[in-house]
Amino acid sequence: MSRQYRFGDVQRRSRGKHKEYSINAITPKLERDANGNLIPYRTPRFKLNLVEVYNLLRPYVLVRMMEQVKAVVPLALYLLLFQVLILRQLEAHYLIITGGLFAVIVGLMFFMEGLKSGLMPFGTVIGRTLPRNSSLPVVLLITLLLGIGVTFAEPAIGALKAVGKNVSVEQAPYLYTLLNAWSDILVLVVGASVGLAAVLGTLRFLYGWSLKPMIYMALVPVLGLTLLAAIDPQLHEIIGLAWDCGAVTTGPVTVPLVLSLGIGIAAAAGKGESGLSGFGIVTLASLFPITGVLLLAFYISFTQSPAEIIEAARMASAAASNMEPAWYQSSPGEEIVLGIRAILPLVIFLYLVLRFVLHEPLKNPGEIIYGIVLAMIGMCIFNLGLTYGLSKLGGDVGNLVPAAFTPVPGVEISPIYIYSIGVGLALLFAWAMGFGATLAEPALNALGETTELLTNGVFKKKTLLLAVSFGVAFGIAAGVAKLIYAFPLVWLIVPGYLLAIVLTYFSSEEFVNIAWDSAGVTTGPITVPLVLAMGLGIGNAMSAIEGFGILCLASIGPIVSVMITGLWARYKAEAGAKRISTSASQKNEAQVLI
Amino acid sequence: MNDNITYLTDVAMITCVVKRGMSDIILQAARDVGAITGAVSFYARGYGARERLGLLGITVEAEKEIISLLVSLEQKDTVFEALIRAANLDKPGNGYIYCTPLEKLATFIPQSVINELEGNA
Repeated sequence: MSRQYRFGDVQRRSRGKHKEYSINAITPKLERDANGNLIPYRTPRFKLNLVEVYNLLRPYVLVRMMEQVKAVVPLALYLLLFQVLILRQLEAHYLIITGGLFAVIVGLMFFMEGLKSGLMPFGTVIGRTLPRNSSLPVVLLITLLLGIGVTFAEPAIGALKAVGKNVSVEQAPYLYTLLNAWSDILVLVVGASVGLAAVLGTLRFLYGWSLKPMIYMALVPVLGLTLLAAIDPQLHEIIGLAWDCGAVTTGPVTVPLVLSLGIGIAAAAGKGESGLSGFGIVTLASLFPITGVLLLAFYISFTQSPAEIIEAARMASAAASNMEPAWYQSSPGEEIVLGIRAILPLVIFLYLVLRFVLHEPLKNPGEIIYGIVLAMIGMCIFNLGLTYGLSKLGGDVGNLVPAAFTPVPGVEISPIYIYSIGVGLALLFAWAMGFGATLAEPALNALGETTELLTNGVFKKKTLLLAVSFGVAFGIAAGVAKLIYAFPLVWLIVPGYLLAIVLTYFSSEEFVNIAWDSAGVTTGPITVPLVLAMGLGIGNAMSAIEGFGILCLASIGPIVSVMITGLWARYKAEAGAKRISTSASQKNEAQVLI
Repeated sequence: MNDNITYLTDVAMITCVVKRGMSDIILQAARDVGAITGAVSFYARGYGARERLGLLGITVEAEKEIISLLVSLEQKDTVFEALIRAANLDKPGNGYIYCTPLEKLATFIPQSVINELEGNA
């Protein structure tokens, strides 16, 4: 007699390595009060042992750490290999720089996590409720103030201040005073410009304005002031800084916070559905600061003469050498103060808006305080890493690169190569660095996905990534060439942006949005300090007056390259459509004949 | 007559609630142990563990992904166990999994598969 068993039952029996418990055993027993009503049950906290805590924390820390490691390590390795293989010099301070880069990784990890759990909740709540509770002028005022706040909190802005110390006051007095005595006002002006850009960008969402006229209108004063400054013998060295400020502002704090507010306002007005609603603010936020900084420079030039500035700088340095600098004026105290000063005003501002304008309670206060503290700690560590890691590495590499083709003091066997090969190597190095650093930028990936969605797959994510990377690469190479051959930045900027205007005129609205935004997206908190410091280092070694301007060329590159790619894609799509329609009409004729 | 509709019986549904972005690992693990049907996934937010862990709660992502797949009763335990191991569900903060019997299932079934089923019957 045969018996039948289900195979599954056999399998379950033979495995049998698990235990089963009834969940009833841990169900809480509810108690009743005197009247027989149930007393609300309070869930107790879990008690975890050390192993369990470790198991919780390990993936949490590891994932976030790897994100930053992926961004920093390849770039640092590339710079190091270039030094060893091509320049045959080993980094002199490699221990300090390794420590500094580690600080950058840890600092950015803390900062990004703090941003996510401490600052972004404010952004979403305010973005969602503010437009519904307040009138448009109030909303716009808060947007403007938010623009200032986020600019101070932007990690890359610290890099600007850090490089200001190396500018020679005799050669470029106005540049020196802007980056030293006026540095806080400089950031304030940049912030106000970002705020203004946020306001205009928000109005654009609300009324559905096209981005094209706004770009033309923003570019007229920018290019006009640039030309005016280029004529002035005292002010032309300011141009590079002004244009670089535009690229510095659009980083990991500004973009999400300002965008969440803008999108919230558009959504409250019932206009949040357009796929393009997120775009435009970044573009304007990278154009307006240029105007702002140039205007500030003009203002200083009217009130102070170069001789006064040099005199003041000499007095300040004499006073500084006389007395011991206070703890908050020297590293590492300075970085810590800067870190706290970057985050705290923004947080207080956001809290005040939430409390007194919106009357909203703070959800999960513990988590938000944790995030804010984390962001501050991260900012301090990042600032330290900036000083000892990124800025030093970029500066050292920048100092060494010219040794490939020209004698540089302090490098024993320079020039290492004959002139033409050396220049070629230096440009190739800059090109490859721009290409690699851009491909690795996480923000660009997100933009690529949006683009593919917006264009219904005509413009592939990979195409955008490549177009932007090529643009940045050529931009950085052009910037290095500018430093090597010491020709004025205006010669590159003005034709570049004129070309961009022409392309903007011919491109469709989608591509104008994508192209102009891609420029702001590419310059993150790692590339900005590295490229800035590298430019200044090259400038130093070539004894140029200033080494700014590489970043802004890295912005114009992708604008042009993305729009050209867009026009090409449209041309191909139209050609394809024409072919299909002609073949279809031929078919129709054939049917008629039959 | 309705003889062109085929019901499948002896079906179980396994549902995994995991961190967002884990679906590839889950699906690969399921395929490796012979789960031939597809799966659906949807995004969700999780509540509970974050609140009960205090400050440690920040390590548990609130963003979840729910993957539900249909398996035969025979393979249900194999798949169940494979998924627990693949997603490290025995470690804290990684999510949970459950399994429910289903009465029946109907969808398009290729003729070749129906022939195979009739041959076995």
